[in-house]
Amino acid sequence: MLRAIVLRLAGVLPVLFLVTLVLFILLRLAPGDAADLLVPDEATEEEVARIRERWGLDRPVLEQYTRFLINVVKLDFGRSYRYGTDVSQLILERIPATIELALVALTIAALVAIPLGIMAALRKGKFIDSMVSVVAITGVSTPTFWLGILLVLFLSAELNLLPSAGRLPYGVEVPHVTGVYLVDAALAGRFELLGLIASYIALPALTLAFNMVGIIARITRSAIIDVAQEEFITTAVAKGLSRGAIIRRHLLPNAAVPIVTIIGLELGVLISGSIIVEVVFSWPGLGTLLYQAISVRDIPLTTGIVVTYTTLFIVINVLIDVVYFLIDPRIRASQAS
Amino acid sequence: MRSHILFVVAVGLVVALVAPPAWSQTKQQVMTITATEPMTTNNPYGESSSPVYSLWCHTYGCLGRYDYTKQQLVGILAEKWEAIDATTWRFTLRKNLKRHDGGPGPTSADVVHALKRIRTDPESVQSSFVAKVADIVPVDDHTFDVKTKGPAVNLVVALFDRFIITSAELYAKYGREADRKHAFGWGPYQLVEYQADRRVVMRKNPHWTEFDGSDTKGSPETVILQQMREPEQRVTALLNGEVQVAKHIPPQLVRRLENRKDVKVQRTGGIEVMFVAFNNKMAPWTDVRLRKAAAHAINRDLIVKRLLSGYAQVQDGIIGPNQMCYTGAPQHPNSYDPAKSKALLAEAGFRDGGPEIDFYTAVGRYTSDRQVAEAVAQMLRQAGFRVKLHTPEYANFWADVRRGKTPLYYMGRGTVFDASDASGQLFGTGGSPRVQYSNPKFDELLKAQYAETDPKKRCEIWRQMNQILVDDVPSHFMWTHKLITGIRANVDIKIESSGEMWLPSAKMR
Repeated sequence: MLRAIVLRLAGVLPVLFLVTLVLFILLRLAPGDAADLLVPDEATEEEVARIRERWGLDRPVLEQYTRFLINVVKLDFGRSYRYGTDVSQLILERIPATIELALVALTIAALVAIPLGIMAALRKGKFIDSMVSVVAITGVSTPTFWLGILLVLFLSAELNLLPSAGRLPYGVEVPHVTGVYLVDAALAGRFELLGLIASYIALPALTLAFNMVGIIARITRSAIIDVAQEEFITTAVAKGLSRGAIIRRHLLPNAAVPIVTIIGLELGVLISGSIIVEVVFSWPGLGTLLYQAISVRDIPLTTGIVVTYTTLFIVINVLIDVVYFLIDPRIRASQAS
Repeated sequence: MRSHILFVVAVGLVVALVAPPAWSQTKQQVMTITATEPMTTNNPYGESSSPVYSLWCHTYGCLGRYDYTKQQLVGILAEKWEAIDATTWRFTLRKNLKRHDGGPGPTSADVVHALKRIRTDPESVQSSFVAKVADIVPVDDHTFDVKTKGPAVNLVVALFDRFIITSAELYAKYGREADRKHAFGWGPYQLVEYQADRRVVMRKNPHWTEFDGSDTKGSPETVILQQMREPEQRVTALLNGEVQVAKHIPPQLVRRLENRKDVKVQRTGGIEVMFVAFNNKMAPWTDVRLRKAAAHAINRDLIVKRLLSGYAQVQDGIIGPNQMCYTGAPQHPNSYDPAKSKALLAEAGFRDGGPEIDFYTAVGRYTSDRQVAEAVAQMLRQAGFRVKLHTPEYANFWADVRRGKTPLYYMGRGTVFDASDASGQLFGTGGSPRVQYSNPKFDELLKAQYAETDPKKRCEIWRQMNQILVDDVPSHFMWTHKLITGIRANVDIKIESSGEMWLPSAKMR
């Protein structure tokens, strides 16, 4: 298993190299000049030229790429054109917010979708199965930005149940350990903050979760249906085991692999796909940062964030493989042999 | 057991619905204001926009500001200013100010240091507005002369609220770290927290006194500028009490704020001039008849009424009622006249349909920009032009406009109070490639108004310049937007035409 993980992680390097190359080419080919966007309307051409020189944008493209690649190998993405600070520092500041949002959204989605999927599978063809299909299609078809604004309108503006923007109000401090506020507050014993933190994350997390509920429910339903047809399930029923026991001990463990797969994939998609939701809710994560970076052609920052996303995606996939190994004895056996 | 759980859930729901939530409870004297412009650096010279200058004027301090209500300049760090000759302005700094950390008040040395930073700081993007300044020469510790390269009568207005004065002493001691960890100035508010593109927090300077001695009691103790780019979010945050001032409310959302007891709407005439620009060196816009034909085809009043819900003021020329030197509407403006438009097209040789034209607009940059451009395109088509509308991403759009590659586009120029520099850049010969207009008479008048110290004569020159712009139509001026601000009912604050506000004069009840 360890060997497999090491080999998988070693495969990250060529992928990252390709990603940086493609990104560099795309950003250079894209119309728009970073120097133009960094200066005000009334800036003179001399000022634009000075900004271009400051960021090396007047150097030949090959020289720019070579210099960039050398720095990336040293894990130095340079300084952001827009913010003037180290890209790595900006990413480290923002990444916990994105991870927290993704994990909370996924948790909500899984807690809702897996039971729904099981119910739909066990009542296949019945009303509940149709309802779950409707929920699934609605979730997948609903644009996140539209849903986000709708939730803000209803839950925040009309009912004033939840705040509409940001991560925490001014004046509330969470002792910093990981940067994930829910975890840090719990670790510091500041349980009174958990409700406030949850209230701020609720709307963006619900927006993201709604989209995933459908997908996870459908995969769960299919996986449960497949396993339910196995002979050992018939045996378990014949033995007189309760429905709950059959689901817990036989159905779920055997259906876990595809469910874990989809959850893992969704986590990867969530982390990189929450850009719009972060912007709508002014959530201070990597998505908002990437949106700002692209809009001003901030090449170092854009590249740094995309490389971060790529690395996270690969790491999540490796973790999924580890989870397979732990939950499925057949995979452990095949690895051993 | 089940009924017990249901009871607890029911009580929880009732409490949640009835009790005021934590985020909307008004903290004593904390005013949260929404921000939409980028706030990307704590370097006071690293960014150039009205909101950013306002922030630094409130914290570090600048020479002064323009009070649009009283129509006069008001000192912040400066107490006196006068023109000594055509190329020299003398400023005197206030002597009764203390730095936020207890250090000395602003001196001429700090002013000289500020100019040096503007010009040489690698992160500075503000050097263009001091381009006319030759040098700053200290007369004594609190008096200095600004010497210009040529006559620059608009210098005071151009510099007043943009020349951010920072401490030479602190910079000498800490370098760039002074901006990060020792951001002490002399303004009415002290910078407490700066989170780029998220939140800026300021705390009231208890030692501050207003230039005119007016009372600052009741002004907020803490002010938070909270980044909220989505207009829907700004309105919601205002309605549920998360923010006390929501700026830049688009016209279509005003209805949600009206007829409410807890919120009021302030409408202010703006000074961001919107226009349809022709590239005067690109066909077919080299022909003034076609430019006039396009101008006469656009029904500005209808667009303002239907698309902007009346929240814009149509204006002819670059100077409108809220701007300096407005002396009335120019003669024979290019009003909506479709018959005239068609006649001009025919005269220019397009009897059976107009030329094919490409029309560009940014999206999401200005109020209802895409919708306005769609309406304008439709009106041009009705006149006979064959219009192809393009809606590129702003980065692409702006790059092409700056390089003079865009033949026809809808755009705005912000905070044009004194139109000298904007006019020079847009319409002066060699100003920039954006419009590529050249008129020796206009150039001559532009140069003359820089040197004219008599306000009445200067405004007469501007009247003539404005008339040239209307007659020649290098761009067709559309309107200035009305700024719509939502404010909580317990807050009194005046939004100026620039979109900014002076916090010491605000009151929270």
